[in-house]
Amino acid sequence: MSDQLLAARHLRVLFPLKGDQAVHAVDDVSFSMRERETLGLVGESGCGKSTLARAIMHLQPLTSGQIIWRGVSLNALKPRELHDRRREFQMIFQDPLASLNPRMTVATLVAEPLRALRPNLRAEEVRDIVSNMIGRVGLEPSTLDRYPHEFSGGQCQRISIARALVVDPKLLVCDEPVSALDVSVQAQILNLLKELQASHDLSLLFISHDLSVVRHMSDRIMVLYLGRIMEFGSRDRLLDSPRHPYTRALISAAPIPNPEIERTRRAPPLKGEVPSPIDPPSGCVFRTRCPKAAERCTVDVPDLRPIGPGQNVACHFPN
Amino acid sequence: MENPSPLEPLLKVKDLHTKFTGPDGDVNAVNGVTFEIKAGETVGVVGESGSGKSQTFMSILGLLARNGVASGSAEFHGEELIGASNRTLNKVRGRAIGTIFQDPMTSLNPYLPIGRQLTEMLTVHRKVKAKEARYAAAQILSTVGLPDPSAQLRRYPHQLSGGMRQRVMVAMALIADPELLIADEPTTALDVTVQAQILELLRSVGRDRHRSVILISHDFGVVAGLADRILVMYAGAIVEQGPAADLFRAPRHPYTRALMACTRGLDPEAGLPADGDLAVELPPGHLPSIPGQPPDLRRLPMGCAFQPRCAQARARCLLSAPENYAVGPDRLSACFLERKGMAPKLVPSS
Amino acid sequence: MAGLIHGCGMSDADATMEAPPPIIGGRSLWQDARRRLMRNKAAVASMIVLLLIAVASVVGPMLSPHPVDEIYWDLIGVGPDWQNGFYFGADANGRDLFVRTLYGGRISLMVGVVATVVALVIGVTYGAVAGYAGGRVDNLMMRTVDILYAIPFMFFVILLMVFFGRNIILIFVAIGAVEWLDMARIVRGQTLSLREKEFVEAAVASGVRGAAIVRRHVIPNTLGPVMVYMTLLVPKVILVESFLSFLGLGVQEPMTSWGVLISEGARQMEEAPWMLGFPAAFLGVTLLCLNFIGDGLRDALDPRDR
Repeated sequence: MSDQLLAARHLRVLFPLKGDQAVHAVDDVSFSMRERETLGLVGESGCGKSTLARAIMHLQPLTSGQIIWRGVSLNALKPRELHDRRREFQMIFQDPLASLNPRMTVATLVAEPLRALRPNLRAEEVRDIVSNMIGRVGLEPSTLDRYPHEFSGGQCQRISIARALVVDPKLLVCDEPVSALDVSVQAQILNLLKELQASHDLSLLFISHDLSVVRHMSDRIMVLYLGRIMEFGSRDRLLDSPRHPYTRALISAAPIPNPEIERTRRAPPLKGEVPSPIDPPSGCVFRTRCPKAAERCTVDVPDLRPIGPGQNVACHFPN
Repeated sequence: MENPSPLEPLLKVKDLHTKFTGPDGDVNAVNGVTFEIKAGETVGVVGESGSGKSQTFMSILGLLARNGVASGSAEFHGEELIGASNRTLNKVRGRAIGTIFQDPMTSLNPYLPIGRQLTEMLTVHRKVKAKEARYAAAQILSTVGLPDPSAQLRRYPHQLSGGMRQRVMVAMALIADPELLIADEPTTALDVTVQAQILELLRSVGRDRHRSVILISHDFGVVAGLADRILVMYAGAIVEQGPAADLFRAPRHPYTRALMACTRGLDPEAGLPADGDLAVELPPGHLPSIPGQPPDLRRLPMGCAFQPRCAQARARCLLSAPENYAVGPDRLSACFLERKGMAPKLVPSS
Repeated sequence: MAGLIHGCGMSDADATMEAPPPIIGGRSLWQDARRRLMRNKAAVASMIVLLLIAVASVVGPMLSPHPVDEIYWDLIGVGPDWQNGFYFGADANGRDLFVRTLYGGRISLMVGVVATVVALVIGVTYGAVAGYAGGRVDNLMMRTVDILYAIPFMFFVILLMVFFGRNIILIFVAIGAVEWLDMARIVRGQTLSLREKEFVEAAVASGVRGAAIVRRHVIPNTLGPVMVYMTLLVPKVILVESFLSFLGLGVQEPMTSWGVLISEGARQMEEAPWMLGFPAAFLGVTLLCLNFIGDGLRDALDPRDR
């Protein structure tokens, strides 16, 4: 357990609405992360992946559950103590330009975490760390005096990465970091993240709706649907032999740039759409679209159970 | 729908140029685009942001923003659309050419029930009576896979889910029975499982009525399943075009090859023969990428627009922009590398 | 065709190819806005005219041979006359209207600027804090604003005058104390939407806390609409002061303002229309200029153009 970085236990985030209703954004999610590993979180709209990311980052309060960071329960900490720990986990966001204050220079933006979390540094030290980091993410020094709107999406994302890594965190939460970028630029950023992961000893919590991107980056993958974990396991096993019907549907739905394969397609696409997270379906939340749904699925919520080495499924009738 | 002569192309675009005036200089969004669409074929148009793929068709449909000016020619059944009067354009839009856009929420009027928006297409374009129009509307909703069509007619866009709204968009585009359907990134805003459904729908839509479909996307995977032919665009010009199977199997233009490598790099399942040179270059775990970024359309380089990012660039590429060279039956590639001892320069067909 | 694809995401090729066209220093959004503003002819003309009026107000009385409060007995009621140097004529007491008009400009413009700044400082801080804090604090603060809105302004001013006498500083305070309410509301609205923006979330994730977020992230991004509102507030303030003076509650002799002059001039409207005309024209032109500048600022700062 010595290198266990993060343990999330039964996380729940509910947004109460009028009356008895609530948006079940995250429902009973538990997982753990080690140092230097990448955990991929994949799911479609309404699966709660963004809410989960923000909950881990303590940007969103939990309704219930515990987050244990390096052995210390974060819930139990006072605000001051939590603040001190913030430099160990940082985040990058989906919209590259929107996550940068348009009125600040790149230098100010990248230096901000240092000013907030390492206030004892002298100005020259801050400047050095910032310039160094800008170079590490592949940008020129002249970038420092410019403003975010002068840069492309890919460059803005590099700036965000620099900002996140300037305090040398152990965990980087990446919320759809390449979804808003062109394909040719996506690859640049993904390569950059991999390199920085190696050189900075980072763990990545990599969130995306794009299975192929998650496949490339992750050691383990967690599949979410309506706030619950459907399947969770090592990347290769999960993708080569998916056990949950939803995972199979996701894999088969992803378009492949090969006309021969695409045209002689396999199973017809999954019917229907994701139900509203307001009062989700009873029992197994996937039952409304599941080709295997039976009586039991309406009543019993399936637990996440190990079904093989490094593979866990929440399904009454896994493949 | 009349059956056009199989030899005459439905849509002939020749040397289309579109410019947007702006405070920081004019944006050259479309730079000399030439292509044809035949009846009953599905054409995929692939490109990244700034490639001009959307603006090309906005220009043809006369839907440019106020600061945009299109020049060149786009003939639909012989009728010129560029610079045509609103009357002419209105006759063609909706009736002969149907369009589907990326975001159904902003394309549908939030204040009108969808039945009304559908019947409007018929009562305006085909002068159909209200009752018949309602019947046709329910029919088309059923065709696009909406359950309980008659009840849906009374609902408002915000009451429908994203996938359902997009189906309504498809219905609206099809209800007047157009010969050509233009779908601009129709699935980009949708979940992947819903995207699969909509693509399936689009496939049946083209097949069924011998209708031409133009599918615009940034994703090769999306067009792979539907397109007969593919146009690859970069910086406002077509850099390569040809039959889909050919193009995927053996892409010629450096940009096409690079873009495909990026897409396939993420997808080992894509399974097409590795180009050999790709596997050698990369450190393990690295994805192929294209260095740099798309050009500033206000300041296009004098020569080939892809040259700054092209590993194959020669001195020639800096000086002038390449023509479209024939590289096979019905295959064109705009790259000087094709010149060496190959088919003679192709003069754009008139 | 070897060497086709560059594999490394972080190659120097990326860095050098990604640099935007070289500009010395960054081009901030403010600079962009200023450029756009300068292209607006009405706004630029207005700024020039306003500048001229301001300079004339400050310098004119100093250069004129006629002191502000000197009474010229034989010129009482005499109209504008180029030859004898009384360009605007004389007022009802025989003082040089030209000098007095310019002098009045000092007071009117000063009230406009100072009261607006007071309203700005109080309003922006109050609104940003309320908007960012949210919940009950926000509720309490904004309900207070609602209550203050209900107090009749005149009543408040008269009370102040009664207690503290007619003091020019008091007038600034009174006006500023009322006008900050609107500003607070605007800034609070802006803050509410800014709070949800990703760059604020990112700042929180970076460890920046409460007050610093408001100071560094929220307030600078509200300044656009605030600046526009300010240029529209200045005319309002000047008018309020003029109104007060018109009622006799404004500045005291021998100080004067456009409002006072207009008040006096209105009384002589039939016999000596110039006494009303000139100060009113100055006031009118100033207000018009401020409005044009405000419009120009709004267009220049419009995020749609970005």
